[in-house]
Amino acid sequence: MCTKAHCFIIPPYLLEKLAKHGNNSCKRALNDSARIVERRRSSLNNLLLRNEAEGNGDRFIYDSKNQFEQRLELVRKEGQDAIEDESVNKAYDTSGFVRKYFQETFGLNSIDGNGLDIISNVHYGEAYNNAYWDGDEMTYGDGDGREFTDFASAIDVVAHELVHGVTQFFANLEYQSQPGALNEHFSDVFGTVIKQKYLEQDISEADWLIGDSVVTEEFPGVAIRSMKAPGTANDFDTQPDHMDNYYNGMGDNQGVHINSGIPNKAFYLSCLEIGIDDCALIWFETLKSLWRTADFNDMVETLVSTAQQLISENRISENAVEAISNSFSQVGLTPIVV
Amino acid sequence: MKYQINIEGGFTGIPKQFEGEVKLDKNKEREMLDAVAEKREDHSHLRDGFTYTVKFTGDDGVYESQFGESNLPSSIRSFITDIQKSNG
Repeated sequence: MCTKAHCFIIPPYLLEKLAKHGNNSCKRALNDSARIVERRRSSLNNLLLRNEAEGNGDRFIYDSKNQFEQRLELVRKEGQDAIEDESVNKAYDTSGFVRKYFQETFGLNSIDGNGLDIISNVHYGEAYNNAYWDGDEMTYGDGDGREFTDFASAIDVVAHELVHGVTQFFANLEYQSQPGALNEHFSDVFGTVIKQKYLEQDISEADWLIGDSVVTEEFPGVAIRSMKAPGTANDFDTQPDHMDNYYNGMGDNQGVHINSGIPNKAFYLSCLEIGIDDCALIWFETLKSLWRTADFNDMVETLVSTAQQLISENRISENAVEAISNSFSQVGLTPIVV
Repeated sequence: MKYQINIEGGFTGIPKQFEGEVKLDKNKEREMLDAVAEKREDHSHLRDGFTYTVKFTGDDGVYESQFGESNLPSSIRSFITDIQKSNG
């Protein structure tokens, strides 16, 4: 028996073993402990202690005015009317859509389940070709106008970044190697699910592309990534779609944006079998059960056990376990189903 | 001063490399070399942030360091932005 109080004095390696065996209390303790240590270290480093957020999931949009600074000028907050700046309005609307999706689909109150305010910075930097989550808020560049355009205007980019927040609070997957690739995978999964909901598409109409609306005609490709065909979205796309082509290098935090192509392809194949809504539920419940160091095999094992549980509750298709097993087998990750 | 800058990671995951030589006055060059030499720890929860590997070769040696979004010195950031513009 392992209570939450006991778990905090148990060494991390033991917590990991217990978490792998399905002990949710230990998994929570493991993730919470790591998060507390990281936050404390970060706070001391910045000589700033941040209070736990107790918001209502309100949206705050800041304009960085093309400087490399966050929270420079608050230009729109929850309930205020649209302004002339379309990037601001898009960031406001799309982050609201993502919040609504998680609220209505999974009953999740904002990113952390506890009403954390949703803060976005737009027009960050000069010709900045990126969007990121920094542990507290989102930041979007305008793009250089040559290859990339406004990152804040794309529903899948906004959803991707917000889901990094969800992952941080529910699984805290570390950002390197396979746990990091899973971190990216969950952001791409809900980026593509929410994009399809936003565009009111079904899976046969969807393009399964990530970041197609932030690339220009000059860009040598159609998008940043493809869930359907990893490795084909652009001339630089090196994502594998099978474990045979797994990237073992040190770049990109040991391939977090590269090896995510493997589970991404399995998600796409699973959706073809049982539909995107069942998959979204299975993946969300799985995310809640994963832990900081979980790898691809841990993920597959947890997906299967989660699907078995959801089938027993009549919440998803009866063939979900078979569909997931077949999909992951096709990318070289064969689960053991008991 | 010779420079070599590698930018990787980010939402796009597309690496960029810049290499060349610039003429800077002595004070500016010293400022840049000092900025690269200074150790700044990064313990942030950054996801999709860029990683910047910066290498400068000055008269007195080679200076190299790696930064993230949260600890990139502003002088280096300005330098990289200028380099990117001039390569556009």
